[in-house]
Amino acid sequence: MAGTAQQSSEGLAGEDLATTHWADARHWIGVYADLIRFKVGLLERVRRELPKLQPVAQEAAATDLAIIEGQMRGYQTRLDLWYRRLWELQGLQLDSDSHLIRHRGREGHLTKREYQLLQFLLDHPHRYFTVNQLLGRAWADPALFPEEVRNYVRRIRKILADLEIPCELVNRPSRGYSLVFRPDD
Amino acid sequence: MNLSDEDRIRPDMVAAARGRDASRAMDGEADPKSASMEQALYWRQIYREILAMEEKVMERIQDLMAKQSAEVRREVELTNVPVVAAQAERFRQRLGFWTARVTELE
Repeated sequence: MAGTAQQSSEGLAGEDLATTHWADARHWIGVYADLIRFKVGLLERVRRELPKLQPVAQEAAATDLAIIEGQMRGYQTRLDLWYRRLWELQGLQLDSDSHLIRHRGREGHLTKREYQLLQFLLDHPHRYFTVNQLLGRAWADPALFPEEVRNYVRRIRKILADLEIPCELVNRPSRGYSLVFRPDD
Repeated sequence: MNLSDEDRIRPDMVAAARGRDASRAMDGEADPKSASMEQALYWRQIYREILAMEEKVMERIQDLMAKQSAEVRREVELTNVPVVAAQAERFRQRLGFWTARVTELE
């Protein structure tokens, strides 16, 4: 399927996940992020218009929704693949056995929960998660309190800074936390 | 519409091909050749509304595309534009059938 990202295993024309150039990875991350924003804008429009139609017409028009949602899932998968490639090119490694994190000659040790949180965020870059979502998805541990999540966030931020990893664990009101690359790196 | 081998495996192209088949009616839609005036007026209104929606969606696509990079524009031209254009064309043709039926019964 050349030229469309509906199937996550293939990309757009000119895209090469095997690239060794950091700039290529950044470029395609930008393209997929733009495509996702585009589809979000389109979905919003379709969702706004659908309720104005009579049920029989809503059903017919829902085809648009299903197609756009399918495309978005494909783009999201490609975006995740490109972020993973970016981590690789950046020299970032997480060792699941020793819970060591390495970045360009620097090394740090993570506790089990720090490791799980960072791994989760690295696997879902640029997406926002509320404290409750992190509790349920990064650890699936109901014993933790929201304040403990904020504590782990502080610890992860310190690790990112100590190892000079060019990304930030940002917090946006009503959206939650997200791991994002600094655009100037 | 004839599909190439490559297009056959593209869900968006398959949807576009299916979307522009004007003989495809909605669930429960009466036959325009034998429908009553009441049915004809009802389905004409349904198609007016859905066509208006597809046109708004297409306008939104064009607005959003204007601000995008070449790669994004190309992808959207390959994916969303044909699907929405095909759907709109089908709805336009179905609206034509129903408008003609209303005129015939008047």
